[in-house]
Amino acid sequence: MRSNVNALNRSRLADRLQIAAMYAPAFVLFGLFVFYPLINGVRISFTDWNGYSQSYSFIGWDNYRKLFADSNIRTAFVNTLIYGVGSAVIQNVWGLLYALLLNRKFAGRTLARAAIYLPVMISGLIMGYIWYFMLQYSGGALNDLMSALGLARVDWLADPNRAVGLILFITSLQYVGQAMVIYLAGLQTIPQTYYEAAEMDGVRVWSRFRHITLPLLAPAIITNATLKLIGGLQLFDLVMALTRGGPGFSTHSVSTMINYLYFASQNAGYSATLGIALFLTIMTITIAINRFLRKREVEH
Amino acid sequence: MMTKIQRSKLLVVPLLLLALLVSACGKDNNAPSSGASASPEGGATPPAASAEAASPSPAQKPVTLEFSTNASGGTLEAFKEIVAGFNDSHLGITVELADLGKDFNTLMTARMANNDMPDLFSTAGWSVRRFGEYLLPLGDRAWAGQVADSIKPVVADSGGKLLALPMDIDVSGMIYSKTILQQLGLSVPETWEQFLAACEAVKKAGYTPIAVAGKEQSDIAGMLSRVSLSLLVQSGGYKSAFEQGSFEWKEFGAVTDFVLNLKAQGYFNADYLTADKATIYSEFAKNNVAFAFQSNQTIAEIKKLNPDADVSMMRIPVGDASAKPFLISGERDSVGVWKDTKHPEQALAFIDYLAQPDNVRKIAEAYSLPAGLNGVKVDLGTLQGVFDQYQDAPVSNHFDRQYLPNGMFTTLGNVGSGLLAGTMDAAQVIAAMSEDYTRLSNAK
Repeated sequence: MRSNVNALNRSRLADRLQIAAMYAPAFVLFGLFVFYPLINGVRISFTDWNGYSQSYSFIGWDNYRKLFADSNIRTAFVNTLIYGVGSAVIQNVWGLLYALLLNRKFAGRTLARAAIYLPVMISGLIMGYIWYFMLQYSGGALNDLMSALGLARVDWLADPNRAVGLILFITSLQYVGQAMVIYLAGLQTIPQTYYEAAEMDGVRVWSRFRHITLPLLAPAIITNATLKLIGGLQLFDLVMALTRGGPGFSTHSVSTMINYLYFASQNAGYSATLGIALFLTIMTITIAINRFLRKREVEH
Repeated sequence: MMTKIQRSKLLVVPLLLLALLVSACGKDNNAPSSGASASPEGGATPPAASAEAASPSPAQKPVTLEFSTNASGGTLEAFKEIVAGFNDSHLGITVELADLGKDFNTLMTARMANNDMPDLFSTAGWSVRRFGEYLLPLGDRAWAGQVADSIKPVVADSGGKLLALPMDIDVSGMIYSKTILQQLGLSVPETWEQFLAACEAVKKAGYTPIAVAGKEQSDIAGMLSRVSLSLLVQSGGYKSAFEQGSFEWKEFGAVTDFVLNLKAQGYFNADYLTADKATIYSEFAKNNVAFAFQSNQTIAEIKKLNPDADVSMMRIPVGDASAKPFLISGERDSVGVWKDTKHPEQALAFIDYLAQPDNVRKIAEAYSLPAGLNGVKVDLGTLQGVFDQYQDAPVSNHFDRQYLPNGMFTTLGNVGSGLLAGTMDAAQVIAAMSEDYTRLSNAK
């Protein structure tokens, strides 16, 4: 009897060791590349470090106090919310429309899917430069076209509000294909029998969409909303290629501002503070959205 | 039995992964670099050809030196050629040129933070204030006595220690289109009053008076830096205030007023907030623009687009007739040795090789600049006449490098961009300059 118990305990211990060993690489990687930089970032945010010197001083909450009073940081946060929430909404609506359209069978469907998805494969930086060449005042494709039509040239990126709008539009256009693919996958998991039953009961198209498609797409909506929101909140490369945060500080996202503060302004302590603020913002928004959408998830 | 074997196999996989990860993350300072392979004993073995030619004794293992540079275009090509020549003639030493381009500052900042610098590196205009604490003094080298007087104070610390080898001297002022000025019968302006009159005439003739590449804040910083140097130091009488650190930043209003006036008069290109430098080169090449607050490198870039473009360098105008228009004479392509390099002897051998007249000439000629060492004859091409004409002109180091703490060139670019965009007024610009001056001056 006792030997059986010992054998059982040994077996349980071996199981636990095996599980721990399986977890270990992931834990080490996570600790090395996520946890350690995060803790170090928090520590640096309480210093006046310039980013390269071998010495620095701890300055308490000064950086955090300054953060709330800094109008440039406020602009960067507002822009980041516009880029994040705006692109999440636009890409979800636009991506869902594309998915509904391209879920139907018609000639050229595969080509259309590929064409919409293609920009996702281009780096954000390259996409930014392509659009810069299209929008630039002198020699830009759009302005050349307008000139040919007898219209006055426009410096599209000179107006801060318009520049923010263009960045939002371009990032949405680039990544809408990703949202479309996720929605297409979601649509294909919905059993056709539901639609057939609804059709037989005389349910109209809009009601079928609202009461069958939308609830059963909830997992795809959660995935898309989270991915797009995080992507938008972290927007960096497109801003750098199109405006580099200018004119002035008017189109900076928090990510480009972090880069500017650390490497150009030599204010690494303040930059780390902003990084922590961005981390907390993304975490809060993501948790809130996930909780909100999970309640609407339907199993089938 | 089978279960035990499978379990032990399963355990081995994550443990192996862990071991791989730990070994990959471990820093091996003796890791062989490219071109050499590790011997079973852990020593480095040179490639076969080099091994035969060099036959280094066990005491003299082949050494690889890392040389990081921000050089671009013709200068980078010249550095590559020099490095290849050195590697061919110095068996047992391999210099690897790391072309960091636009990432130079970012990567060097990270390297400084880790106190892990390349053996040799370009000092990119900041041999003293930014890189000074990482550089090996070079005053004992044979060529040290040849360093030109005009660049010596820029590459030596306050105690007179020479910290870098200056390959050339960044002599520049502003650039202008000779074609447009000649066509309109205008002489090269020497005062700001003459400059504004010339801008008005250029504008009336349908050309763009001043080109600004506002997408690149460094261009706006260059404009503010030149105007500040002229209005505050050369003409304004604040030189000693800057030197003593007692400058009252409200006086910077003279600079903001000047720039805002240029904007109000419509003297800038229509896309002054969003144009990149390539656009400015193109507009000069097409003879559409009269002036730019840029260095001689711009002339070389314009000539690539249009070899016939008649663009030249002019002195920076001054605020009143009592002062003389002047040129900027600063550090450009200077190279230093990391003070903690493991191979000081070999790194110094490379620095000495760089200092050979032929090599100095190659770098200096890449962008038509005077050599940093006396006795090196440089062909300055079409700019030879201009340099001869202005050889007695007063010279000053760059405004930010001479009078501001390291890091304020970026501030100049940002406040300038904000000012031109209308997102900052003069008072905000002055406050931002004052705040960054204090913060960066106090940085350790």
